[in-house]
Amino acid sequence: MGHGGESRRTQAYDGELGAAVARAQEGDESAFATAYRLVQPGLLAYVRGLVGDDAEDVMSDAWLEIARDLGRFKGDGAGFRGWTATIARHRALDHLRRQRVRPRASALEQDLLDLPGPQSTHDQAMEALSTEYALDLVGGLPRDQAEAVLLRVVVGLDGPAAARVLGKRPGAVRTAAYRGLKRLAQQLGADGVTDEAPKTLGGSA
Amino acid sequence: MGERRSDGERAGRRRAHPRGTPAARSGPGSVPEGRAAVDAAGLEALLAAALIRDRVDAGAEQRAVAAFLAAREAAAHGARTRRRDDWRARRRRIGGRSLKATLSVLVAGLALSGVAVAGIGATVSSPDRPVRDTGRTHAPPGATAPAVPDSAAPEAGSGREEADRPASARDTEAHCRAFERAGGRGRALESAAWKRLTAAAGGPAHVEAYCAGQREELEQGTARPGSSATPGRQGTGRPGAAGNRSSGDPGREAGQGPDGAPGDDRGKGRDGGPGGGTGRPAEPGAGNP
Repeated sequence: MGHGGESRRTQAYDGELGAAVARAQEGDESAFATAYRLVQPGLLAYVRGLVGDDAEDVMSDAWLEIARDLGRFKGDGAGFRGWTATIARHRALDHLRRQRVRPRASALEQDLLDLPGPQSTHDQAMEALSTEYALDLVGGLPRDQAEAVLLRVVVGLDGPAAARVLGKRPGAVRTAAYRGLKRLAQQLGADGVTDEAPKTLGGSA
Repeated sequence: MGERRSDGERAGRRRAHPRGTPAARSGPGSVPEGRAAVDAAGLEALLAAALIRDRVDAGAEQRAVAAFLAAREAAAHGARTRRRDDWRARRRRIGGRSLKATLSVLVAGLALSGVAVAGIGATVSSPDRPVRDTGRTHAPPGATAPAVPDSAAPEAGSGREEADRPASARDTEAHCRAFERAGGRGRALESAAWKRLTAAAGGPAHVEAYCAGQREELEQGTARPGSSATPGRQGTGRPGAAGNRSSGDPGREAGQGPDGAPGDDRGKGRDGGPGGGTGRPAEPGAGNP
């Protein structure tokens, strides 16, 4: 249960990540570097969805806190992703508060004019999405849906873990992720998605 | 930072139209097979491949490691784990707690129904003994009921041992009263005593009529209220009270219906000395000095 929606990519790393975190907690800095390399790409992608181009700076702050509080953490690799995502999110929200900018606006406004027309999206999606285009798509979602989708897809959290990061009930987060993915699928013109999505999301309950 | 920027350019940051974007990413599942066959997993893989940049900025990593070393030097890593730092199998813990709660409710329920059964069984038991005790009980049974249970409780316990005898009219009568009290609901109705009652009545549907018939018989026996009151109370009154007492608060709430009923003196007041009417005239007679 709970792994239906996790990206295989992060799942495969969980064992390695858990071992690295355990060694890092004993003081091994190379293990800490390993853990960093394993979780940083996903966290950065998530934070970029929240704060846009400031994601690198926000993540630097987050890592200072992660490094400082590592001894407090208890859990395995999957737990470490959830824990670090919580810290990263707090730093991102702090950043937004300082900016007094709505979270998704920051990601949205920069490339607002670059949004492609719907006709072109289908062909493009079948090959690969550009980072910017994917960010635009996700940034166009309502905030709760965008976060739920990002935590699930790029951080690789299951439903309950994502709910804990967001401080919401698992059911609400699951629904938000489902709606967000469905909407993205419609925007991409991928016909099969709407039929498949409920099953997969239900598995992450 | 600089690395990220170049990476961003590579990924098409400056391109207004994504059609011209090179498929720069080679993450797992980034290119689904077939045009229309993008399922949910394919979409998620597509998004992950587009959003995650695998290359890590070396400078940022070094800063993080430096922070880690500084924290290690400062011995900050021995800090206490707060609630928000504990990510150990949380779901299982919640499940365990609710499982424990379920189990304790279940156990409490079983214990209470056990008390109920014990109360019913005890009503059956004691009429032989109380006869000798009539001397130290007080006159109006209803009035004394609250005061006596302490002394009488042990008798109920010992009385149980004598309980295994064929169901008599008195048993039936007590069960009938308890049945009324329970209103046909509750766990007590599943007990062996109830099975006997329903068997005697010829089926659950007939219990009420059967009990009514029993009451009529009893009405004819109420001629000797004086003699019957005391033994009847002793026999039927205490066990219920004892059961309540031993089971504590929850017992009083949940157990009241089934277990308090058979022994309760209220029944006695209404039926007017049932003990005397149950076809056991010899005992009250012997008890009376």
